[in-house]
Amino acid sequence: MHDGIEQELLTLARRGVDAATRAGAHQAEVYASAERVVKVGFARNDLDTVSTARETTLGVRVFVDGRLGFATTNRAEDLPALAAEAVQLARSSPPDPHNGLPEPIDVPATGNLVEPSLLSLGPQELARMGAELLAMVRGLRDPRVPDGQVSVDTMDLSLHDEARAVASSTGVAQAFRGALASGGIFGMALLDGQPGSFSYDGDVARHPDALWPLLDASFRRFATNCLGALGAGRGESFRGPILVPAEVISDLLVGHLVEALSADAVRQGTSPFAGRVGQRIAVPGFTLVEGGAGLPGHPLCPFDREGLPRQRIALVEDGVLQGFLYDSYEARHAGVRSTGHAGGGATSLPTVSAACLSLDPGHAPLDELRRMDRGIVVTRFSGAVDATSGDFSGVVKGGFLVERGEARPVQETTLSGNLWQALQQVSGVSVETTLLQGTQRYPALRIEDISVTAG
Amino acid sequence: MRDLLKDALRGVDGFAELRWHGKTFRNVHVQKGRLESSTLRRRDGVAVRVLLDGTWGFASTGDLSLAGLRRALDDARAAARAAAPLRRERVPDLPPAPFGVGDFDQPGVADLLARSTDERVALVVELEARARAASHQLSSTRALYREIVEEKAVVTTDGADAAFRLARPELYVFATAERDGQLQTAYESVGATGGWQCLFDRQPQAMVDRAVATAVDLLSARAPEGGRAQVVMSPSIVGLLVHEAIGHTVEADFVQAGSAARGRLGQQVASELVTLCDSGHSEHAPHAGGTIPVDDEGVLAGRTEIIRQGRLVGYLHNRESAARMGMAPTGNARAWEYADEPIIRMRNTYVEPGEQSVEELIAGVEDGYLVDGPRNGQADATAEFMFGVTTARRIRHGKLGELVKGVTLTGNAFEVLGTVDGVSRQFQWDLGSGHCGKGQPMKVDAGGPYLRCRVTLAGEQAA
Repeated sequence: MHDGIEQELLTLARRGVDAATRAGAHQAEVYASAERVVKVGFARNDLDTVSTARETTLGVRVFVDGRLGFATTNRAEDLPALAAEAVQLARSSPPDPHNGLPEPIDVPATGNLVEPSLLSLGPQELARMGAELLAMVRGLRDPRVPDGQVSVDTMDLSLHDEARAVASSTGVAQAFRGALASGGIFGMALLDGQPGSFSYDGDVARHPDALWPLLDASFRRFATNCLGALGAGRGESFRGPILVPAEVISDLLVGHLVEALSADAVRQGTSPFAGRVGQRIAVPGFTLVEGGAGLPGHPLCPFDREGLPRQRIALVEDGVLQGFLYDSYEARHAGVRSTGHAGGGATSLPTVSAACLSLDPGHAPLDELRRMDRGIVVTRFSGAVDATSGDFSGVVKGGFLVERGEARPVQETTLSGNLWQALQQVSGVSVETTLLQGTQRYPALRIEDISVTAG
Repeated sequence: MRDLLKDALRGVDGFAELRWHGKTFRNVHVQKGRLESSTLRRRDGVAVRVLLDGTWGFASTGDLSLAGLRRALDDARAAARAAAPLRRERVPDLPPAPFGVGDFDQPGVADLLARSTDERVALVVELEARARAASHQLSSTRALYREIVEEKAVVTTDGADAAFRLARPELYVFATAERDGQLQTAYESVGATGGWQCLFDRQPQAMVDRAVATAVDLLSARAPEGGRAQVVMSPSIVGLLVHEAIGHTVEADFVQAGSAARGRLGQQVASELVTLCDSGHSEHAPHAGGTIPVDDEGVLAGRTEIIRQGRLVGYLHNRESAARMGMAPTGNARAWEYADEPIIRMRNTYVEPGEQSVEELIAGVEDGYLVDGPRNGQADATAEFMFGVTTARRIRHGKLGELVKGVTLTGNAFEVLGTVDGVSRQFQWDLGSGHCGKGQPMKVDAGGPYLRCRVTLAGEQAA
């Protein structure tokens, strides 16, 4: 992609707004994105496929008498016809008095996030780096099971160069370009031909110099988890503590908590936290923050799906619920201002979502939290979590049973409990934190009184 | 479109495959009386895959001109050349396959395209309103309609030359009940390959009533005791088991990486009552949601036996894995959208029906559960699985009893299938809504008869 492409997208988006207005929209918004991807894929411990892709995508949101319609395409030449189809969809929809587009709000001028040297990463460089990472992962051993070796099912290294723009009939006009490189790995370890539990990991970087160390660290973590799952034995059934490392916090806890703290869940009657702002919902010391336009040192696009500034919001502070995340619809419905948390892209309507999250660290060293008389270290959680009721149950993958400080891998061990009660059962927060994907920073948590069942 | 693709391939050296792939998605979503979305999404383009020096190169383009396709071919060839020096093991020559040649349109496309937006919106609005009015204990209700109309043409330099259109509508209803701050959610869904009428096979109004009744009943339900238990699995849970915990382990790419099915061909891995298959066709009952006539390598998508009377007899292949393992392609190469590479995916996965009635299976349980309705599910390379279940009813002395909540089933799928001692003659496809995930989403279906077997239930432990 070339310099200035985000401004060209903005021009295209404005043309789409005009086309929708001509087609009968009372309000119209066009979100445009263009992306170039170079991907080097590995499979079954070897390089597999190198691929390239470019695409421009457009999403048209319109309102006619408070009625909503949305249409999207990957063909810019179809924009006028698409705008007319969005208007047709709106005319078939029931009205909603809260529907509408937001008025523009100033967005801090942070500029694009494009490191030119990152854009020069080509398929050969990515393939070479991938081959070295693959060899590193395959060469790692666990002294407990020296014959165990990681088998990589799939692994990829990618470069994503993306521009986006949003324009609306109310005057919103924002454009941005960002580039990042990413890597992901998925597989398991084998011992005497028998597989252990699979694992996955990965990370992203905006500078080529940061890519290798981040991927090296996350791929080593992946290998440690795969090898650690080998030779797993039967666990035990009991009620007791679990240790949830930073990598598992989102899957088991924070992802579901943020879903319940989204204003749409409150409006729709599926959040147990409706009407509880100011109340204690977690133990003292539990502080969850949505970082707005990026965690410190890790900036993101400064505006959301609706072109409004992303704001930093403390959702839970010292265990007390502070508020919810809003996009413009939910804000209008609730009679407050948008917090700039409309997520999504050109192919979807805006929905409330978090862009980046952090949990404050605690005071206990991780090693101290691991020292349990009898407890489970949750290396990966594969299970069902109901963000409405908070009930959860599922299997610990590659987990460890700790007894009197000694850990051994266990298989087919299930956990069950209630997340919202678990927030009140956090007995320790680690002083160490881990940054994940550049958008999440968490400590480890120890949670008491969880039901553990051996398979 | 096939002619354009063939023009682009003219004069190309070596193996090349062009796939034009267009998809139109529609979505209507109503929650608590509000229309949350009414959307239309169109995306189409051409995927180019070449095999050069034993290395794959892939490119995708939305430029459908002849010049645009040739540029994408050049990009794919350049990508393959860049990767070839670092590839340790060359991709072998692809084996011949039963290619699709001609048009393979599936029924239902014209019917679905003829429906107006008003008709779709009216159905969803009516169902959500019915749910909302059904009980004062409901805190949230929603209904969701989705459809995909898909068009494809696949042409290769070695003989595939096929095109088809198909349609997949689906419908969901959700109900959340609330009492004393406790919330419980239940849902019903149907997803099919075919026209609008497929949605009415399950009687949408009855789906609403069941979802509401289950959500309300769950408010009074208790969690089960954890431990091993005998269960009768409904077709939806059987489908989840054979898809998630068996099907993925027999995908040949996963077999090669070391899944639990590796090296076990010919071994007894399940009860002799179990014959398990994956098919591109809708076997035993119509409208299975993963039906395809031809896969994305242009191979005809037939029926593949995976387990025959308890013995592991086959894996699911694309052309490359078939070449590597000396077996025949099975028509399982699938790509979600045009910019995605085809990878090995299931289609419609199922257990063959048996001889008994459901009532006979329940009557044979002294102390156990009838489990129905997948809430979610995941499985591992080891064939260990974890499935959340929407409804579980106690069975005592062969009689159905009370509802229990929060049930999760776990175990090793091969071991669980080894405990099967009853298979019903009733058969149903019941996993046609939603998607399977494997890097890309995919429409699949799964199902079968009711099965009686033993699993582990996650439950409450005493302090």
